[in-house]
Amino acid sequence: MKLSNITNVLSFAAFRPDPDDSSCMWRKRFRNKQTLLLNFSKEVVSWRSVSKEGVLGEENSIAGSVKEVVQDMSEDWLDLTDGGWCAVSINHRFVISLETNLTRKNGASELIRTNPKAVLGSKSERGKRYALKHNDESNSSILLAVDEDYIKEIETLFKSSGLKIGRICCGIYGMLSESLDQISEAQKDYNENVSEPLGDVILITCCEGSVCILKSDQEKWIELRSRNSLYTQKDMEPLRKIIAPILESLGSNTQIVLSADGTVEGISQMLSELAPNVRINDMSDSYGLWNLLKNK
Amino acid sequence: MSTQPFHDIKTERQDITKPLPRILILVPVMFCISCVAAITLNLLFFFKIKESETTKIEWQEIIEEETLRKSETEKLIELIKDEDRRAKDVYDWVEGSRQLQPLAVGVARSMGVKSSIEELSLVRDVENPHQIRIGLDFVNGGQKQLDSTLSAINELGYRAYSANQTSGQGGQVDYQATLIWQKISNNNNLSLNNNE
Repeated sequence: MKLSNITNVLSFAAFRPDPDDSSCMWRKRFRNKQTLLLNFSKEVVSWRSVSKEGVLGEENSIAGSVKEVVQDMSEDWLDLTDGGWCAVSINHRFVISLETNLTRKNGASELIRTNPKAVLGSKSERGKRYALKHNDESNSSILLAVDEDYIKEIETLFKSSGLKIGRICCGIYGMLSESLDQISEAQKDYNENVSEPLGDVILITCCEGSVCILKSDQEKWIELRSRNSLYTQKDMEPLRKIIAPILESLGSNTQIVLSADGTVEGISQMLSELAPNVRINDMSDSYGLWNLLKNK
Repeated sequence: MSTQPFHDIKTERQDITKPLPRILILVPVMFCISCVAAITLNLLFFFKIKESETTKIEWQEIIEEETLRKSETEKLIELIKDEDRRAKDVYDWVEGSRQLQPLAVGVARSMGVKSSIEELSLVRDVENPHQIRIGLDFVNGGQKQLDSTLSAINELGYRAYSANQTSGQGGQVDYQATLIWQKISNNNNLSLNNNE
C-alpha cells in the first residue's frame, strides 16, 4: 500500500471520484471547485465557467480554429478553473447515425469505448471513438462516431497549454440523447393517461451550427439526419434546406420537439414558418448544452 | 434530467479507481475524532500534571514546615520531659532525704531504762537517698528491746529490710538493716510532720 493511498483516505479524497472519472457526473466530481465548459465548432469556440457554487458564468465566444483559440486563451481559462479542469464539447468531425440490431449486452455502452469491435462488429472502423444510445422500445440505436485523431489532437493541445480535460463529448449528441430520455418519459406518462396514440415526433437538435433531426413513428426511430458545421447565426439557409423536406409531409398528430443552443429564436421562427400547423415543444432552456455539461 | 452521466469519448486513463464505499468514511472520521480526542486528552493530562506538580511542591513545603514544627515540638517535649525528670528526681530526693534526727530521736527514746546504746550509725545511701543504713549496737533488753526499737522505727514510716542481727556476750545486740521510707497515709504524714 502506498502512502498516498492512506493520505487519500484520511483526507476523504478516496471517497470522491477522480476528476477524470467519466462514470461520475460533473457536479459530483468538482463539488466546490471552479471548472470551465468549452464548446467547439469548426470556426467558433465558446465557453462558460462554473463557479464553486455551481453557477454558470457568462457565455463568451471567439471565432477561430480550436488550436489558435486554445493557445491564445489558455492563460485566461486557467484563471477560471481550480486546477485547470475543463469539459470539452466538440461539434465537428463527428457522424451520428441510426443503426439497428446492435448488441445490448450488459456493459456494452462502456465496452464500446475500449473495444468498439466487440459491440459494433463489422460496423466498427479504425480510428474512431464511439458512443451509443439504444431505443428501449425497438431494436434501433443511435451511434456517435468521432475521429480519434481529432480527439487526441485536442488532448495534446490542452495538455501543452496546462489545461486538464475531464470530459470530451459531442455536444449535439448529448443534447439529442437527453432529449430522447425526456421524450421517452413523456411518452410513458402519456400512454398511461391517454388511450389515443401520441403520433409522430420529430426531434430537432441544433448546437453550434450542427444539426441532428430524428424522426420517430410512435416510439420507433425511423429516420435520422445529421450534419456538422452546417449553418451559422447569420446564415440559416442550409438548415432550412435540410429541415424543410422532412416537415413537408407531416400528419395532423405530429409534433416537433426542439432542443437548440443560442440560435434557438431563429430556428423556432423558421419551424413556425415551415410547419405552421404543427405543435412545437421547445425544451432548449431547461436542457441546453451548458446545463447538461454542468450537471451531468 | 436523467441521472445517467454524460457520454465521454476522451482517452481513458487506466489507473482510475472508483470512490470507496460511503460507509468506509467512518474510518477517517474515527481517525479525526481519535486525533482530536488524543490532543484534547494530552492537553488535559498536561495541565493536570502541571497542576499536580504545583500541588506536590506546595504539599512538600507544607510537609517540610510540619516536619520542622514536629522536630521543634519534639525538642520542646524533650526539654519538658527532662525538666519533669529532673523535677521527679528532686521530688524523689526530697521525698527520700528525710531528716535523720527524728529517726535518731525515735531510736533513742525507744530504749528502755536498763538498755543503753553503745553505737548508733545512720548512713544515707548517696545513690538512693531514701534508703538509710542503720547500725545499732546496744546492751541489755535483748530481743524485746530490739522489737520495741523497730516498732518505733516503723511508726516513723520506715521499714527494715536486709536485717542482720547478732547477739553478743553480756546482752549486747548488734543490729544492722536497711531502712526504706514507706509512704504512709496523710494522717501519719501529718503526725510525722507534727513530730518533725
